[in-house]
Amino acid sequence: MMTGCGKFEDAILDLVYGELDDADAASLRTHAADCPACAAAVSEMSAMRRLSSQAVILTPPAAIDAVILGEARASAPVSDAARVIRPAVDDRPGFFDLLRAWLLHPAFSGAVVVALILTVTFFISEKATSPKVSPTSVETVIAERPLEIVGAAPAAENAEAEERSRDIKDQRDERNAKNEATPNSAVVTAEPETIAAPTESKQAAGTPSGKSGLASRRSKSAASGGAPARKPAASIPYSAPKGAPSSKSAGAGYTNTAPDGDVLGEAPAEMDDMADFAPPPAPTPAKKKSAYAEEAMSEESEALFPSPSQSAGAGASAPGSSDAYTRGMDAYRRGDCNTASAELAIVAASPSSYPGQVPSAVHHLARCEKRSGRCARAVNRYEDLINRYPAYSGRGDAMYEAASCYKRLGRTDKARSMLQLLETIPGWGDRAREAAAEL
Amino acid sequence: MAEFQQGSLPAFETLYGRYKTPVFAFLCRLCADRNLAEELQQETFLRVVRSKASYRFGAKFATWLYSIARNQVVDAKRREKFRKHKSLDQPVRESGTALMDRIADDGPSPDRDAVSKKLQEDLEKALAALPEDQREVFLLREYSGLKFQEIAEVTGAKEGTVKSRMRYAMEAMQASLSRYGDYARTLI
Repeated sequence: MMTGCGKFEDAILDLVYGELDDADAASLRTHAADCPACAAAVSEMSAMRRLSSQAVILTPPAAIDAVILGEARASAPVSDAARVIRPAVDDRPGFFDLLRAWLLHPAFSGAVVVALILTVTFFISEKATSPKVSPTSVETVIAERPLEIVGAAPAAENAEAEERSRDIKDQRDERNAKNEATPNSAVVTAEPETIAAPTESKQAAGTPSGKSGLASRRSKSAASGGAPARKPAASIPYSAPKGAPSSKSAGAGYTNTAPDGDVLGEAPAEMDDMADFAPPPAPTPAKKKSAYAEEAMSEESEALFPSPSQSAGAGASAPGSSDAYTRGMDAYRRGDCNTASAELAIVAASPSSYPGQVPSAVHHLARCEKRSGRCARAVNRYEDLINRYPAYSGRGDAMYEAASCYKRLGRTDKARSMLQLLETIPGWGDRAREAAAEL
Repeated sequence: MAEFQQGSLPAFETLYGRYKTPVFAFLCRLCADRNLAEELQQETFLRVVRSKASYRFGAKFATWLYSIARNQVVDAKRREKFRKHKSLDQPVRESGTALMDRIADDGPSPDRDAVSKKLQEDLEKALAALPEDQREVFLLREYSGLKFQEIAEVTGAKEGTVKSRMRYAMEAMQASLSRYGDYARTLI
């Protein structure tokens, strides 16, 4: 029956036909995990859909097209060239006209500028490393920073900006005096933290006034012949990645560049570790909920597949002798069955060179064949593996997968025999019996 | 459709190209007669062209279109152009060919898997064996892609009724095609 337990009849139908929203679908799947009736209903409906999709495609004869399109043409009073929805002469302002008008409007321009500054500041603060910034390099870049990015600062902010500019200039002079005593001016210091508190708090808060003030300071510093000491974006304190060395000299690592091109100085070398961070694990493919569920079980068994050291006749593989095996297994895990097959075939053909790894190689060769839809070849490999390596720890998985292949090939007799044999292996009895019951 | 109402022929050509095959498949399987389906296909789209002014944007075009198509079938049925239910293997008096042959298009390719070919034949028989109300719901959902709510609008039934008919149809189809259970599991 396709009604399941009776509580979710309509929902099961909606689920199978994709009309259920994500939350309800998740709830139903959770219920189906504990309700065999609903799980069976979903499985049966899904199977029915797959069968229905095999129907012949019926296409109408071309003669009908001519009649219908002729009628459509006759019903249209104007020529094809003029059959457009818009009038020939369009008096309405077009999209680009409107866009141009908006962009030229002062209020809109100002809003865009403020938004840009906020975005850049936010991005810089997120990306900022330790405040190991060479004041000189920062000042130079600030001075060169194109003013048009900043735009016109509101008039009301200018007085405040001038005062901050003077403070920063004073501090810069003090710092320059200190640096003269230090040969390596690129050594990272904690100088940015000495900037006056009010400015620091404003900049940390990322207020628009701060940004406009920054622009104004730059313009004034450029006019005065020197760039003000710009408070780096690391006013939001930088925290090094976990496990990173606590101190690095500037010059190591790469140049940390803000997205707007502003050079914030040399980043500590630990930033390079970002490139080594492992990518997020690939999402595991959703396992189909089928009554037989053999594919899901196979995937589980693949995850538990024994390591080479557990293979039959295991001895430690000689150093340097497992290249083909390693390459083959890496390729298999990536889903590259062609490469995996080529490499693992080398292993399978050279038992003396790859002691202890041949059974695993043969098993994965069989899996590659199975994955590629070549069940006939896969069963040959499975049979070879099962017969030649009776002590192979993955023998149960191999038998189960072989039975699955036989089933696909329509050889239910062979599948049943394999499952009967599988029942004798400890831990496989229930699975084998369940699978055999579905044959 | 809006553009077609304004007089755009390319807009109608786009619509026609998109819907002509699924509508024809719906008519074919609902009528179980390809010749009749061709007639009704032509009538349906001519009606769309001639009634374009009456199309209201509140309704989805597909719903409107299939309503027209379904009404054509109902009208034809009233005119007794075809019998309600017929075995696909029995030859039709007019031509002597089996209905299955009259439904099928150019036929399966010679190298098609034997199981798949047999499945197609059994599938058409199973569809033809469904009661008409279940068959039209099944066809509209499975092959025309209409949602259950839209099917309810086309058929004039409640959505719950539509879903009940769909379940019954699927159960009947499953019973007819039970031998293909294993084969179904091999399909993606």
